Amino acid sequence: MRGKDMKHRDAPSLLEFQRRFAAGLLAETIDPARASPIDPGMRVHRSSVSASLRQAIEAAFPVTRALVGDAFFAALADRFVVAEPPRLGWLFAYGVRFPDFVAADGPARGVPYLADVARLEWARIHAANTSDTGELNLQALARLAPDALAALRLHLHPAASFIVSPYRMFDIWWAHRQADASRSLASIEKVDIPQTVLVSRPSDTETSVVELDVGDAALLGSVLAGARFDDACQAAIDAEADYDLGAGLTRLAALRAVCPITEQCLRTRRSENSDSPL
Amino acid sequence: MRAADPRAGGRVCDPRVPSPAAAGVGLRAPHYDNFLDADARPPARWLEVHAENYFARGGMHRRTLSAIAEFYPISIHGVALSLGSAEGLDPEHLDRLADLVAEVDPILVSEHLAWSRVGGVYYNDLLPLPLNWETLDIVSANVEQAQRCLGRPILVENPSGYLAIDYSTLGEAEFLSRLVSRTGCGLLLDVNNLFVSAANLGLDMEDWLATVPPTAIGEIHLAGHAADDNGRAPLLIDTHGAPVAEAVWALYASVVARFGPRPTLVEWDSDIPPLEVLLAEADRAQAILEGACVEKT
Repeated sequence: MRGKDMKHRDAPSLLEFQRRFAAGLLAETIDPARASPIDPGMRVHRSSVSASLRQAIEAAFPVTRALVGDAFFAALADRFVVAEPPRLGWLFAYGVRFPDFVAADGPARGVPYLADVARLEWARIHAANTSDTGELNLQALARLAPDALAALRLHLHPAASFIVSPYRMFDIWWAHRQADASRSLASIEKVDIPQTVLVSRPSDTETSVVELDVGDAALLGSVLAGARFDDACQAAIDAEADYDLGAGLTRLAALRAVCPITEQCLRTRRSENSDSPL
Repeated sequence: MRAADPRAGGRVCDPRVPSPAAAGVGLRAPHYDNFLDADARPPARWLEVHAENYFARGGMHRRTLSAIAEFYPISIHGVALSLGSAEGLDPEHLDRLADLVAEVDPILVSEHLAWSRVGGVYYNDLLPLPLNWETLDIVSANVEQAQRCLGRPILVENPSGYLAIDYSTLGEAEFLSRLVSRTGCGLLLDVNNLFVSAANLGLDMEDWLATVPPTAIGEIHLAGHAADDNGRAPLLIDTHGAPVAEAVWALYASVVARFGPRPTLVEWDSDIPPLEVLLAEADRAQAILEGACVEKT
């Protein structure tokens, strides 16, 4: 009893205990060969932490994983987990930084389109988990006075992502979702053809991934850059001479690419009328 | 105390027993379509979800849960609140949990005697605590904060133990009993965890069951485990990836005979089987619950 009491007098605070314990959890994930002999119980916790976080990334990025193979992806996911461990206790949000990590990761950069495919996959998760917001009402748009319509600033829908890539990342992603991915992939000879993708939630219960034509891409890209409605429309027509504006807006509204009109959309930006840095 | 819920099935033979004294199953994404099928609703008595899977405010998963909750009683089981965190609870985590609880109005809300977070990092595991007076103060404060925020008592689950922690001065059952009397929380008795901790750490199950206050036990969990004998000492791992072991069924039957029926959940989280397999496991638990009811009437 006495020895036990002595030991407890030296006991660390709970906070100190947790800091020390945590320091050993992810330390050897990357290089198991350097692992020192540890209590089998500690090994259970280490492998539970590293395996479950790796699996969270694997589940979020299945096509990215298929593109590089299980072993390569597992090592990539492990590097990510150690560099960027989760901060939130809800793991569906874990992975938002993975596409940028892939873009900067030495071995992964050997597959130039990999980060953009990861962006597309993350955008689908984002679309599924974002609060429901309705779609742009085109009748309301048509009722605006001409001046107000011209000056209108639309916003990207909160569930939507607009991804511009120098690679055929949509085709690559799509091929991997087909039953015979290897045959579909074989048809993609040249990968460095630019593609623009819209990922969105066209209804409350489904997500959508579409490749945008140049006119739609120019219009939506301008909206995203903060352009007025008239300038965004002009950008679409400049990009695609016979662009059908009505059809394009109908298409983008149905996909919920842009938000419903709010007071904020109708307000003229202060910065437009002054050069104040504030 | 809530009134018996007629949707829950199962017999409530003791008015003090929280409803439903029935065996439910975990709701997992592979079975969403089964539960959404209006023409063939599976005969589950109640469903338990992992809270954090529905932390997106709005979004498709929340919508699915709301649709299923129209037809089944729901229990919300948190796995990441980290009641044992010395740094306190993550306010946004608690806020999202409260938002979900307010929306779903679950029959039960539960969490774990464990920690998962320190220094702003979430480790996604139920990590062990040294069970001593300082830890009791911290866990009590965290449980009280959670209960205040949720506006209702929670159940706290006994962990599966793999590691003997130095600096423990209180037994697990004593620690949990004191937590109950300090905070008014209830207990979620995970029979599989009790079995695993007894095998791995020599926890005395009879002493444990004799120590905890029987009326505090508001729910029982059952799950499968696996043996991991790669190390020096073989360990049982609480995998939630297999049928409930026969020895755990026997322990469950003795617990039900001892304490009377309690809402019981069969958990299965990895290698998730077809729903029928899961429902059959729950039916086996239901038969044990009903046997206990018959004996007592």
